[in-house]
Amino acid sequence: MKPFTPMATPSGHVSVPSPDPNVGRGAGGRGRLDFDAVYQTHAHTVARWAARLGGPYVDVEDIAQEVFLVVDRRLHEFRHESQLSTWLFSITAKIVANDRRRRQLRRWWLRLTPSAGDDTAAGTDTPLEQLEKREQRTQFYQALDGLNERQRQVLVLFELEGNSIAEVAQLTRLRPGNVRVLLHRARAAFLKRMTARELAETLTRTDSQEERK
Amino acid sequence: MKLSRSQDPTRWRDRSAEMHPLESRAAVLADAASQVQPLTPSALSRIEKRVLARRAAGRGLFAFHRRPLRTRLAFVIGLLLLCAATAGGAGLLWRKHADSKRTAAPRAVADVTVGQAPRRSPRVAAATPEIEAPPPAVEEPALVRADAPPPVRARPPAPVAVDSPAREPSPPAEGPPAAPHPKATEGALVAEALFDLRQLHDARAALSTLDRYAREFPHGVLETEALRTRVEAVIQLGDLKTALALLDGKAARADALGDDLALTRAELRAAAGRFREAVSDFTQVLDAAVGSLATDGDERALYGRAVCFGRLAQDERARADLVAYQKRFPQGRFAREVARLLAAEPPSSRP
Repeated sequence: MKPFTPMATPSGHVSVPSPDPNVGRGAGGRGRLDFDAVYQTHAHTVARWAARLGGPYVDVEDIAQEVFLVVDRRLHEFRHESQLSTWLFSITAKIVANDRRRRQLRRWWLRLTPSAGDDTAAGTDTPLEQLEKREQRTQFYQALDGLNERQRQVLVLFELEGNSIAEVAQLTRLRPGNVRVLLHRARAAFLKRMTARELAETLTRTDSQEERK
Repeated sequence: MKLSRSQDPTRWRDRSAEMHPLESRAAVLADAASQVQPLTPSALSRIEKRVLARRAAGRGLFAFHRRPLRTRLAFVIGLLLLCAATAGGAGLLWRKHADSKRTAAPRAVADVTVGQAPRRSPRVAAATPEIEAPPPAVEEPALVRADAPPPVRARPPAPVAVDSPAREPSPPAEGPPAAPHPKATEGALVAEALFDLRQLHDARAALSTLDRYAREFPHGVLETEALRTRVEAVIQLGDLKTALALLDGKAARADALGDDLALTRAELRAAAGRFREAVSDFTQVLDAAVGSLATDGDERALYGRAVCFGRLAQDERARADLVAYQKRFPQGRFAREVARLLAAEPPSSRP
């Protein structure tokens, strides 16, 4: 198995080759799946999904571990009725959603401020740029938090992952037409929420400046 | 996963510069959000190790989560049943323990209530053999015949085997008294004997305890209670002779014995055919029993004296006692026999 080497695009995006759907299968193509092979092939994809779906608040390593624990436990139940990536994405999405719910509850109790941007790629950015990107990432996920799970998944897969509508449909087990509708609504809701937040922040900033004067 | 992108909407990040400022702002945010740090190889191997370790641990625990749902359900139901059975068993044991504690309680308090002999509970009293006067075995019209079998008899001996038919009374206090055990107080010993006798129904153990009592407290203040217990134990063993010997040797007069012991002695004397002495005891009990003796004792004394008079051929006095009995105890336990005897023809009118 080839070791993983992240491929950085000129824009700074990190992508990995799409997993071969036949990886991990036996000689017949539909044989028993091997956990090690599945892990080696899909670990990075799962980690990336976890990071992009969860945002700056999730512990990607924990999520990936949870996902592969489930995979290890239930791999023998996988019937090849869908793509392996579809199955893995559904597990990841559920675990991330549960984790987000738990974190929201904990945040509500403890009033913790999220330590945003921990997983942001440092690259060659200056500290100021890193700080700016961290804030932008936080703002993105704050706006994303207003969307429901389906909209969130579709928006993340399309806008962040760069998947096509058909790929998104395959991963989310929806029809392409439904994905389009969901994406349209998700974008509208995202922009609305983003505007509302920015407006609120501007007003707060203005108020504090006036108070200082 | 190479699917067509020709009809896909344009992404925020791929749009040209003339797009809406809001969308361009969203594109900036999306661009920042899409940059994630990939997992390092060490993190990947760490995750894999953890997963494999959890898999091994799962196998160690019968891999319960890998079993089919039916098996898991059966296991859970079995576990619940086991819990219920354990809880039930524990409850039973606890109830048993609580019962034994309750029954042992009188022994513990005996030291405090030295002056009082423990009362017999109705249940225990019913279980303890006692002398009772059965209907006189008289078939003739005469009230009581002198050659008839003794009117008063003891209950059949207890199932405990008796060593000898006429067991000698245990030596009450012979030889130098042994130094009392610090804990074996007088009351505790008598209480122990009563416990053996009435709770465990072990007359031999009771007698052995009373022997120890007699050795350690030859002139104890609970002598009467000890004697009462000893008589009860001996009667329980079916040894009426010994019981009578004990009571005969203790006091000549019934009032020196106490009402219940006097009544017992009267019945024992009647059972031994010593009717005159029995009548004397019965009379003393009846005279002293105005208000003090229990109704049951009074009833037994009146009926017993009537029987004794009958055996002594004193029909008039017997009839008078029978009438008195009928008047006082119309629903008494000898009422039917008394009615039968009174209805019978007096011997003088017989041919």
